[in-house]
Amino acid sequence: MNIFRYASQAAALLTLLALPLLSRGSALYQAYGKGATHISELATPWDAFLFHMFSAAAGWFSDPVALADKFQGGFWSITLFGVTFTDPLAMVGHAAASGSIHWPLVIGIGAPVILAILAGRFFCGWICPVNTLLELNGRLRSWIERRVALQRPPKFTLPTWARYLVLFGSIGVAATAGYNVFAFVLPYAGMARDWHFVIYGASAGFGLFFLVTLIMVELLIAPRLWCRSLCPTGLLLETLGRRRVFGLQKASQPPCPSGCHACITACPVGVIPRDGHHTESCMLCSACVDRCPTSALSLGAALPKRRQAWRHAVGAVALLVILGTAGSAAAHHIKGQPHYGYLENYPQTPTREQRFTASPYLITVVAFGFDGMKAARSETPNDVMIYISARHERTKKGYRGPLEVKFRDVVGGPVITRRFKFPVEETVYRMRVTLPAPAYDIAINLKGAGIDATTRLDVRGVPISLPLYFLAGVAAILIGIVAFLGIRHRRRRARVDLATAPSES
Amino acid sequence: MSEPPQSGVNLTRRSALALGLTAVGSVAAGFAIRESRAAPTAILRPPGAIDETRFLAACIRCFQCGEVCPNQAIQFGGLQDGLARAYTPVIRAREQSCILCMKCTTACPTDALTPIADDPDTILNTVRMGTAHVDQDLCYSHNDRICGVCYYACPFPDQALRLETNATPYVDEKFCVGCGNCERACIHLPQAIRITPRERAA
Repeated sequence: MNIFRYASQAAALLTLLALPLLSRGSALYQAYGKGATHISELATPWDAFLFHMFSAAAGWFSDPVALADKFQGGFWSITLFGVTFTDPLAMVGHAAASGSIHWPLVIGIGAPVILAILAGRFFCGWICPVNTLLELNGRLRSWIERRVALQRPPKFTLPTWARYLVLFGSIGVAATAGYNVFAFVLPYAGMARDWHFVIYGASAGFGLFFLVTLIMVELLIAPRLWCRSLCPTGLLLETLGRRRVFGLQKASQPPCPSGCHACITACPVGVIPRDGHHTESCMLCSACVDRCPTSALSLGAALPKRRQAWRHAVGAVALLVILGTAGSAAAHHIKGQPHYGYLENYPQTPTREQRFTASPYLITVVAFGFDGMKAARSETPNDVMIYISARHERTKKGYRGPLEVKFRDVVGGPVITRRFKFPVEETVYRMRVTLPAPAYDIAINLKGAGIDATTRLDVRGVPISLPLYFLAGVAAILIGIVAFLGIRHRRRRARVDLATAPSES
Repeated sequence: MSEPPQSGVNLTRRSALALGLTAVGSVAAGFAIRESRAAPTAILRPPGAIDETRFLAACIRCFQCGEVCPNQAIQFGGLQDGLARAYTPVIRAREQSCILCMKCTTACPTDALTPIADDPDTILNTVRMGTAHVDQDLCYSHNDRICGVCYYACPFPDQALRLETNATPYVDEKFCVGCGNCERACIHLPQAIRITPRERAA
């Protein structure tokens, strides 16, 4: 059974990692066309790589784009084969935030809800990518406990009813704040978002920080804290699966050896399989199944009570109906719109733009860093074109008088000054300056109107990149190992103290 | 060996107290972070976006609109935009404009973007992301240097955007859907034509 579970977890994790790659690859494929010959010149190496990967993976389908359109999202809300499945908590949060029930969403959560009714926390043990990571983390912890640390690291636990606080607390916040805070609370939602940010080259989100914190806490202080005591999804699925059909089964024969706690110590979420009940929060992870000396435990199907079987039959039929109908809600793609948006930046696309009011003028400062023509290849990578324009907000007239601009590096350094008697073109004051620092304070003096204004301009924004994410993860693990080594070191010193203490006294 | 199976929550006094405190605390926290969405915004949302307050409530930040977008026009803000608007879809037309394929509206699982048929007439009548405005002091054509690039980028030429003598562009607010293709295409810096996002009640 375990091999199936590992396969399922690996498939889920790979799906999560692959979906943004597929989506972005599809977008690039649509922009550059089949067999684009100029992609290496037009796009960044990363984009070209994604393009080629998508072409290799999906290019031999008759319509790769239509295929890719059927797959998006993460486990918070995912579209697979054109059918959208949404987390039940998304609907709970949506209902709390908007005060209304959105019926298509009810259809979207149908399949996960029915899965939970049939198999409880199946999602947790077999699909959830965060559980997969935390499980690996738990293994790392036990490996460190066995091999590295001589003293057992702290095993802090929270009561399992803490999950109710997270669930109802989030519902309360969603209802009063007016937005769905479950999207921020659940680490698997944040994980999918941050992975999207990595693939799409945007700045980092909060999800990775949260996940790394969680991994550290579970590694050092409280093993399996999240899944056991905090996760509201686990609570919801467990509640739905009270009368589940598929789950952990305990054979009545042979009886458990007295004093055997193998299954209880193996369980990551504090279930007591030995008793044959208390199994609501079981994640179907089968950790206990492998440990049981009498092989009394297994994962399998069993109707809880005969007279309830019809309910599950109804559930299964409803699942089929939902799977069959939800797809028709998606996708009707009629072409015919001209596509005038271009994928790659025009050279004139500004790297940075600031608009601010210095009453009565609205001043626009544009910095064009030659990004569109690849700054790295440029002979003068620090040169920036600056365009300044001021517009009278009442009369809607542009300022055309004399103007003085000063660029001051925000950490100090020489001040660059430029003076104009009149605009270079229309009402634009244009200058090419060398700005090597990442940010400048730009002081603009409209001499004709007697207005002084200052703005801060980031000339170069530095997005957080994939290596940084990787380094963050590695650093977290290193910190964990060092912390354990610290425990070991202290323990040794304590031993030495013990050894020397009697001789002194 | 037969303890009765437990059903329901074992509600001790301590857990009941914690639950009560959480209820009060979460309502207070909710009201505290509610403020960050009060300011009126000028955010260009994808087509079909409902009113801002309802949008923030409905959007579950699942990123599916951004992933289905063939033009990578839909970007996502982060926590720097405030907690309420964090991870909601944004179009920065100057960087990448909307090509009106309407895929995002059908991808949205919560109808924060209401589904719109991918058909020119429907789009012209229902999509109102914003309105383009020409700054005549900046525009090349309005200053006797004939350009007209925005007109050629407009998906609804002669309806949303028309050219007059010397290729001077004029926007008809009745038809402009606010897709941002003109803003994207404008060759003037700072751009002479800009989308003002639809007025969104906060």
